[in-house]
Amino acid sequence: MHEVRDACHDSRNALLSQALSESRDLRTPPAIEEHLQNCEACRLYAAGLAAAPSLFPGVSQYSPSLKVRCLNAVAAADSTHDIRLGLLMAPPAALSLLAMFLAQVYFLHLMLSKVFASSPLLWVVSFAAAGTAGAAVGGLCLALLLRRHAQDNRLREVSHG
Amino acid sequence: MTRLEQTESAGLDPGVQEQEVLAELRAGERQNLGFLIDRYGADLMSYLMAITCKRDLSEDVFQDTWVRVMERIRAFDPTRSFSPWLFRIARNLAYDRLRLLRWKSRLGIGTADPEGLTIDAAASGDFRDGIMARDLTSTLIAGLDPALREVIWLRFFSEMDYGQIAEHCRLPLGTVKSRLARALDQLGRRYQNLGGIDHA
Repeated sequence: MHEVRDACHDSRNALLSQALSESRDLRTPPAIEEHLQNCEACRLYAAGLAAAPSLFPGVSQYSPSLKVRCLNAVAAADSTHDIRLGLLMAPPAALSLLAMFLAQVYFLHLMLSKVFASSPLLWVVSFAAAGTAGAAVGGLCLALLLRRHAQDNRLREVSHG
Repeated sequence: MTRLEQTESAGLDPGVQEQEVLAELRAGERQNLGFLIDRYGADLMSYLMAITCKRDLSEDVFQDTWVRVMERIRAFDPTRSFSPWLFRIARNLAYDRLRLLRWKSRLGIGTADPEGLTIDAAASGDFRDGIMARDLTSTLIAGLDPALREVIWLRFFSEMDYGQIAEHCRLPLGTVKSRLARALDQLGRRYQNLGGIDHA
Protein backbone atom coordinates (compact mmCIF):
# COMPACT_ATOMS: atom_id res chain seq x y z
CA MET A 1 0.00 0.00 0.00
CA HIS A 2 1.53 3.25 -1.02
CA GLU A 3 0.70 6.72 0.22
CA VAL A 4 -1.78 8.93 -1.49
CA ARG A 5 0.08 11.50 -3.42
CA ASP A 6 -1.08 15.09 -3.69
CA ALA A 7 -1.81 14.61 -7.38
CA CYS A 8 -4.06 11.63 -6.59
CA HIS A 9 -5.79 13.57 -3.84
CA ASP A 10 -6.40 16.53 -6.15
CA SER A 11 -7.61 14.41 -9.03
CA ARG A 12 -10.00 12.46 -6.82
CA ASN A 13 -11.43 15.66 -5.43
CA ALA A 14 -11.89 16.98 -8.95
CA LEU A 15 -13.53 13.72 -10.10
CA LEU A 16 -15.84 13.74 -7.11
CA SER A 17 -16.81 17.36 -7.69
CA GLN A 18 -17.51 16.54 -11.31
CA ALA A 19 -19.70 13.56 -10.33
CA LEU A 20 -21.57 15.70 -7.82
CA SER A 21 -22.04 18.56 -10.24
CA GLU A 22 -25.59 19.05 -11.44
CA SER A 23 -24.39 20.54 -14.71
CA ARG A 24 -23.52 17.07 -16.02
CA ASP A 25 -20.42 18.41 -17.71
CA LEU A 26 -18.59 15.23 -18.78
CA ARG A 27 -15.35 16.90 -19.85
CA THR A 28 -12.46 15.99 -17.56
CA PRO A 29 -9.81 18.73 -17.14
CA PRO A 30 -6.60 17.94 -19.13
CA ALA A 31 -4.44 17.84 -15.99
CA ILE A 32 -6.71 15.17 -14.48
CA GLU A 33 -6.78 13.22 -17.76
CA GLU A 34 -3.02 13.18 -17.77
CA HIS A 35 -2.91 11.98 -14.18
CA LEU A 36 -5.45 9.24 -14.90
CA GLN A 37 -3.31 7.94 -17.76
CA ASN A 38 -0.41 7.43 -15.37
CA CYS A 39 -2.25 6.27 -12.22
CA GLU A 40 -4.17 3.01 -12.36
CA ALA A 41 -5.65 3.42 -8.86
CA CYS A 42 -7.23 6.75 -9.75
CA ARG A 43 -8.38 5.33 -13.09
CA LEU A 44 -10.26 2.59 -11.19
CA TYR A 45 -11.58 5.15 -8.73
CA ALA A 46 -12.95 7.19 -11.65
CA ALA A 47 -14.52 4.03 -13.12
CA GLY A 48 -16.22 3.40 -9.77
CA LEU A 49 -17.72 6.89 -9.79
CA ALA A 50 -18.84 6.41 -13.38
CA ALA A 51 -20.55 3.11 -12.43
CA ALA A 52 -22.94 4.85 -9.99
CA PRO A 53 -25.80 5.42 -12.47
CA SER A 54 -25.80 1.76 -13.53
CA LEU A 55 -25.71 0.22 -10.06
CA PHE A 56 -29.39 -0.52 -9.88
CA PRO A 57 -30.93 -3.00 -12.29
CA GLY A 58 -32.93 -1.43 -15.08
CA VAL A 59 -35.03 -4.58 -15.29
CA SER A 60 -38.24 -4.17 -13.34
CA GLN A 61 -38.52 -6.16 -10.12
CA TYR A 62 -42.25 -5.58 -10.11
CA SER A 63 -44.52 -8.41 -11.23
CA PRO A 64 -48.29 -8.92 -11.60
CA SER A 65 -48.18 -11.54 -8.83
CA LEU A 66 -46.91 -8.86 -6.47
CA LYS A 67 -49.87 -6.71 -7.41
CA VAL A 68 -52.28 -9.57 -6.62
CA ARG A 69 -50.49 -10.08 -3.32
CA CYS A 70 -50.93 -6.39 -2.45
CA LEU A 71 -54.61 -6.36 -3.40
CA ASN A 72 -55.20 -9.43 -1.21
CA ALA A 73 -53.31 -7.82 1.67
CA VAL A 74 -55.39 -4.65 1.37
CA ALA A 75 -58.61 -6.72 1.34
CA ALA A 76 -57.43 -8.71 4.36
CA ALA A 77 -56.51 -5.50 6.20
CA ASP A 78 -60.02 -4.20 5.42
CA SER A 79 -61.66 -7.24 6.98
CA THR A 80 -59.37 -6.97 10.02
CA HIS A 81 -60.46 -3.34 10.30
CA ASP A 82 -64.11 -4.45 10.11
CA ILE A 83 -63.54 -7.01 12.88
CA ARG A 84 -61.88 -4.34 15.07
CA LEU A 85 -64.81 -2.00 14.44
CA GLY A 86 -67.23 -4.82 15.23
CA LEU A 87 -65.50 -5.53 18.52
CA LEU A 88 -65.67 -1.86 19.40
CA MET A 89 -69.39 -1.74 18.65
CA ALA A 90 -70.22 -4.98 20.47
CA PRO A 91 -70.68 -3.63 24.07
CA PRO A 92 -73.10 -0.78 23.19
CA ALA A 93 -74.99 -3.10 20.83
CA ALA A 94 -75.36 -5.73 23.59
CA LEU A 95 -76.55 -3.05 26.04
CA SER A 96 -79.18 -1.71 23.65
CA LEU A 97 -80.39 -5.28 22.88
CA LEU A 98 -80.73 -5.94 26.61
CA ALA A 99 -82.67 -2.68 27.11
CA MET A 100 -85.01 -3.57 24.22
CA PHE A 101 -85.55 -7.05 25.63
CA LEU A 102 -86.35 -5.75 29.12
CA ALA A 103 -88.74 -3.15 27.65
CA GLN A 104 -90.48 -5.92 25.68
CA VAL A 105 -90.85 -8.04 28.82
CA TYR A 106 -92.21 -5.07 30.80
CA PHE A 107 -94.80 -4.03 28.17
CA LEU A 108 -95.87 -7.64 27.57
CA HIS A 109 -96.37 -8.08 31.31
CA LEU A 110 -98.36 -4.81 31.37
CA MET A 111 -100.68 -6.06 28.57
CA LEU A 112 -101.14 -9.52 30.12
CA SER A 113 -101.85 -8.06 33.58
CA LYS A 114 -104.81 -6.14 32.09
CA VAL A 115 -106.35 -9.45 30.89
CA PHE A 116 -105.25 -11.83 33.65
CA ALA A 117 -104.92 -11.35 37.35
CA SER A 118 -101.47 -10.07 38.23
CA SER A 119 -99.19 -12.87 39.45
CA PRO A 120 -95.44 -13.72 39.36
CA LEU A 121 -96.27 -16.33 36.70
CA LEU A 122 -97.12 -13.49 34.28
CA TRP A 123 -93.51 -12.24 34.54
CA VAL A 124 -92.26 -15.74 33.63
CA VAL A 125 -94.64 -15.96 30.66
CA SER A 126 -93.68 -12.45 29.47
CA PHE A 127 -90.00 -13.29 29.81
CA ALA A 128 -90.41 -16.58 27.91
CA ALA A 129 -92.48 -14.99 25.11
CA ALA A 130 -90.09 -12.07 24.62
CA GLY A 131 -87.12 -14.45 24.79
CA THR A 132 -88.59 -16.77 22.15
CA ALA A 133 -89.37 -13.86 19.79
CA GLY A 134 -85.87 -12.43 20.33
CA ALA A 135 -84.24 -15.82 19.70
CA ALA A 136 -86.25 -16.25 16.47
CA VAL A 137 -85.24 -12.80 15.12
CA GLY A 138 -81.64 -13.25 16.28
CA GLY A 139 -81.43 -16.69 14.67
CA LEU A 140 -82.74 -15.31 11.39
CA CYS A 141 -80.16 -12.51 11.41
CA LEU A 142 -77.36 -14.99 12.22
CA ALA A 143 -78.45 -17.26 9.37
CA LEU A 144 -78.39 -14.31 6.95
CA LEU A 145 -74.91 -13.27 8.17
CA LEU A 146 -73.56 -16.81 7.81
CA ARG A 147 -74.98 -17.02 4.29
CA ARG A 148 -73.30 -13.70 3.41
CA HIS A 149 -70.01 -14.89 4.90
CA ALA A 150 -70.15 -18.09 2.84
CA GLN A 151 -70.80 -16.04 -0.32
CA ASP A 152 -67.83 -13.76 0.46
CA ASN A 153 -65.59 -16.79 0.97
CA ARG A 154 -66.66 -18.24 -2.37
CA LEU A 155 -65.95 -14.91 -4.09
CA ARG A 156 -62.52 -14.71 -2.43
CA GLU A 157 -61.67 -18.22 -3.55
CA VAL A 158 -62.66 -17.35 -7.12
CA SER A 159 -60.57 -14.15 -7.12
CA HIS A 160 -57.55 -15.98 -5.67
CA GLY A 161 -57.95 -18.98 -7.91
CA MET B 1 -67.18 -1.45 -17.59
CA THR B 2 -65.69 0.52 -14.68
CA ARG B 3 -65.13 4.26 -14.88
CA LEU B 4 -61.40 3.63 -15.16
CA GLU B 5 -61.85 1.31 -18.10
CA GLN B 6 -64.08 3.90 -19.72
CA THR B 7 -61.47 6.62 -19.31
CA GLU B 8 -58.75 4.27 -20.55
CA SER B 9 -60.76 3.45 -23.63
CA ALA B 10 -61.36 7.18 -24.12
CA GLY B 11 -57.55 7.57 -24.15
CA LEU B 12 -57.29 9.98 -21.21
CA ASP B 13 -54.04 11.11 -19.63
CA PRO B 14 -52.77 8.67 -16.90
CA GLY B 15 -52.40 11.67 -14.59
CA VAL B 16 -56.11 12.41 -14.98
CA GLN B 17 -56.91 8.74 -14.40
CA GLU B 18 -54.75 8.83 -11.28
CA GLN B 19 -56.70 11.79 -9.91
CA GLU B 20 -59.95 9.94 -10.56
CA VAL B 21 -58.71 6.76 -8.90
CA LEU B 22 -57.47 8.72 -5.89
CA ALA B 23 -60.85 10.40 -5.57
CA GLU B 24 -62.50 6.96 -5.73
CA LEU B 25 -60.16 5.57 -3.10
CA ARG B 26 -60.87 8.51 -0.82
CA ALA B 27 -64.57 7.79 -1.29
CA GLY B 28 -64.01 4.18 -0.22
CA GLU B 29 -64.17 2.56 -3.68
CA ARG B 30 -61.16 0.32 -4.00
CA GLN B 31 -61.74 -1.58 -7.22
CA ASN B 32 -59.17 0.49 -9.19
CA LEU B 33 -56.34 0.34 -6.67
CA GLY B 34 -54.55 -2.00 -9.10
CA PHE B 35 -54.13 0.90 -11.52
CA LEU B 36 -52.02 2.80 -8.98
CA ILE B 37 -50.04 -0.29 -8.05
CA ASP B 38 -49.25 -0.88 -11.73
CA ARG B 39 -48.38 2.77 -12.30
CA TYR B 40 -45.86 3.03 -9.47
CA GLY B 41 -44.94 -0.64 -9.02
CA ALA B 42 -41.69 -0.73 -11.01
CA ASP B 43 -40.25 2.49 -9.58
CA LEU B 44 -41.34 1.69 -6.05
CA MET B 45 -39.79 -1.78 -6.14
CA SER B 46 -36.58 -0.39 -7.60
CA TYR B 47 -36.46 2.22 -4.82
CA LEU B 48 -37.08 -0.37 -2.11
CA MET B 49 -34.46 -2.66 -3.63
CA ALA B 50 -32.01 0.24 -3.47
CA ILE B 51 -32.67 0.71 0.24
CA THR B 52 -32.97 -2.90 1.37
CA CYS B 53 -31.00 -4.79 -1.31
CA LYS B 54 -33.27 -7.77 -0.63
CA ARG B 55 -36.01 -8.85 -2.96
CA ASP B 56 -38.17 -10.63 -0.37
CA LEU B 57 -37.80 -7.77 2.10
CA SER B 58 -38.60 -5.23 -0.62
CA GLU B 59 -41.72 -7.17 -1.58
CA ASP B 60 -42.88 -7.25 2.05
CA VAL B 61 -42.35 -3.52 2.41
CA PHE B 62 -44.02 -2.93 -0.97
CA GLN B 63 -47.10 -4.80 0.25
CA ASP B 64 -47.12 -2.97 3.60
CA THR B 65 -46.82 0.32 1.75
CA TRP B 66 -50.07 -0.22 -0.15
CA VAL B 67 -51.88 -1.39 2.97
CA ARG B 68 -50.68 1.77 4.74
CA VAL B 69 -51.69 3.89 1.74
CA MET B 70 -55.23 2.54 1.98
CA GLU B 71 -55.31 3.11 5.74
CA ARG B 72 -54.19 6.72 5.35
CA ILE B 73 -55.75 7.68 2.03
CA ARG B 74 -58.20 10.07 3.68
CA ALA B 75 -55.26 11.96 5.17
CA PHE B 76 -53.75 12.48 1.69
CA ASP B 77 -54.06 16.03 0.38
CA PRO B 78 -55.48 15.68 -3.17
CA THR B 79 -54.04 19.06 -4.22
CA ARG B 80 -50.55 17.58 -3.85
CA SER B 81 -48.73 15.01 -5.95
CA PHE B 82 -49.31 11.39 -4.98
CA SER B 83 -45.87 9.92 -5.69
CA PRO B 84 -43.85 11.82 -3.02
CA TRP B 85 -46.43 10.79 -0.43
CA LEU B 86 -46.31 7.17 -1.58
CA PHE B 87 -42.50 7.03 -1.64
CA ARG B 88 -42.30 8.67 1.78
CA ILE B 89 -44.54 5.97 3.26
CA ALA B 90 -42.43 3.29 1.59
CA ARG B 91 -39.21 4.91 2.83
CA ASN B 92 -40.44 5.07 6.43
CA LEU B 93 -41.59 1.46 6.36
CA ALA B 94 -38.34 0.28 4.77
CA TYR B 95 -36.19 1.99 7.40
CA ASP B 96 -38.48 0.74 10.19
CA ARG B 97 -38.03 -2.81 8.86
CA LEU B 98 -34.25 -2.44 8.57
CA ARG B 99 -34.09 -1.05 12.09
CA LEU B 100 -36.09 -4.02 13.35
CA LEU B 101 -33.79 -6.44 11.53
CA ARG B 102 -30.75 -4.71 12.98
CA TRP B 103 -32.16 -5.10 16.49
CA LYS B 104 -33.02 -8.73 15.83
CA SER B 105 -29.52 -9.28 14.54
CA ARG B 106 -28.03 -7.68 17.67
CA LEU B 107 -30.21 -9.86 19.87
CA GLY B 108 -29.15 -12.90 17.88
CA ILE B 109 -32.53 -13.68 16.35
CA GLY B 110 -33.49 -13.62 12.70
CA THR B 111 -31.27 -12.81 9.74
CA ALA B 112 -27.55 -12.26 10.10
CA ASP B 113 -27.57 -9.93 7.11
CA PRO B 114 -29.67 -6.93 8.10
CA GLU B 115 -27.87 -4.42 5.90
CA GLY B 116 -28.25 -6.50 2.78
CA LEU B 117 -24.70 -7.53 2.09
CA THR B 118 -25.91 -9.49 -0.89
CA ILE B 119 -28.07 -7.98 -3.56
CA ASP B 120 -30.66 -9.79 -5.61
CA ALA B 121 -30.28 -8.27 -9.05
CA ALA B 122 -32.69 -9.13 -11.83
CA ALA B 123 -31.38 -11.49 -14.46
CA SER B 124 -30.50 -9.82 -17.73
CA GLY B 125 -30.81 -11.25 -21.23
CA ASP B 126 -27.32 -12.66 -21.48
CA PHE B 127 -26.91 -15.05 -18.58
CA ARG B 128 -23.13 -14.83 -18.24
CA ASP B 129 -23.08 -11.04 -18.53
CA GLY B 130 -25.95 -10.95 -16.08
CA ILE B 131 -24.06 -12.99 -13.51
CA MET B 132 -20.91 -10.91 -13.93
CA ALA B 133 -22.84 -7.64 -13.72
CA ARG B 134 -24.72 -8.92 -10.69
CA ASP B 135 -21.51 -9.93 -8.93
CA LEU B 136 -19.92 -6.58 -9.68
CA THR B 137 -22.99 -4.68 -8.56
CA SER B 138 -23.37 -6.68 -5.37
CA THR B 139 -19.68 -6.29 -4.56
CA LEU B 140 -19.85 -2.55 -5.14
CA ILE B 141 -23.03 -2.07 -3.16
CA ALA B 142 -22.27 -4.60 -0.42
CA GLY B 143 -21.68 -2.92 2.87
CA LEU B 144 -22.81 0.51 1.70
CA ASP B 145 -25.14 2.06 4.22
CA PRO B 146 -28.82 1.94 3.10
CA ALA B 147 -28.99 5.74 3.33
CA LEU B 148 -26.04 6.00 0.92
CA ARG B 149 -27.61 3.52 -1.50
CA GLU B 150 -30.83 5.48 -1.32
CA VAL B 151 -29.21 8.78 -2.14
CA ILE B 152 -27.40 7.23 -5.14
CA TRP B 153 -30.72 5.86 -6.38
CA LEU B 154 -32.48 9.18 -5.96
CA ARG B 155 -29.71 11.11 -7.74
CA PHE B 156 -28.78 8.78 -10.57
CA PHE B 157 -31.71 6.43 -11.10
CA SER B 158 -34.60 8.74 -10.28
CA GLU B 159 -32.58 11.74 -11.56
CA MET B 160 -33.73 14.07 -8.78
CA ASP B 161 -31.83 17.27 -8.17
CA TYR B 162 -30.40 18.04 -4.75
CA GLY B 163 -33.38 20.16 -3.73
CA GLN B 164 -35.79 17.35 -4.53
CA ILE B 165 -33.67 14.80 -2.67
CA ALA B 166 -33.51 17.10 0.37
CA GLU B 167 -37.28 17.51 0.30
CA HIS B 168 -37.84 13.79 -0.18
CA CYS B 169 -35.51 12.73 2.65
CA ARG B 170 -36.34 15.80 4.78
CA LEU B 171 -32.66 16.58 5.13
CA PRO B 172 -30.71 19.82 4.80
CA LEU B 173 -29.21 20.39 1.34
CA GLY B 174 -25.69 20.24 2.73
CA THR B 175 -26.32 16.85 4.30
CA VAL B 176 -27.60 15.50 0.99
CA LYS B 177 -24.48 16.70 -0.82
CA SER B 178 -22.10 15.33 1.79
CA ARG B 179 -23.99 12.03 1.88
CA LEU B 180 -23.78 11.66 -1.89
CA ALA B 181 -20.10 12.61 -1.84
CA ARG B 182 -19.48 9.95 0.80
CA ALA B 183 -21.43 7.38 -1.20
CA LEU B 184 -19.52 8.10 -4.41
CA ASP B 185 -16.17 8.16 -2.64
CA GLN B 186 -16.89 4.74 -1.12
CA LEU B 187 -17.94 3.44 -4.53
CA GLY B 188 -14.74 4.69 -6.11
CA ARG B 189 -12.62 3.08 -3.42
CA ARG B 190 -14.48 -0.21 -3.69
CA TYR B 191 -14.02 -0.29 -7.45
CA GLN B 192 -10.36 0.42 -7.01
CA ASN B 193 -10.03 -2.37 -4.44
CA LEU B 194 -11.74 -4.74 -6.87
CA GLY B 195 -8.88 -4.01 -9.23
CA GLY B 196 -6.53 -5.24 -6.50
CA ILE B 197 -5.02 -1.83 -5.85
CA ASP B 198 -4.90 -0.43 -2.35
CA HIS B 199 -4.56 3.28 -2.37
CA ALA B 200 -5.90 5.46 0.45
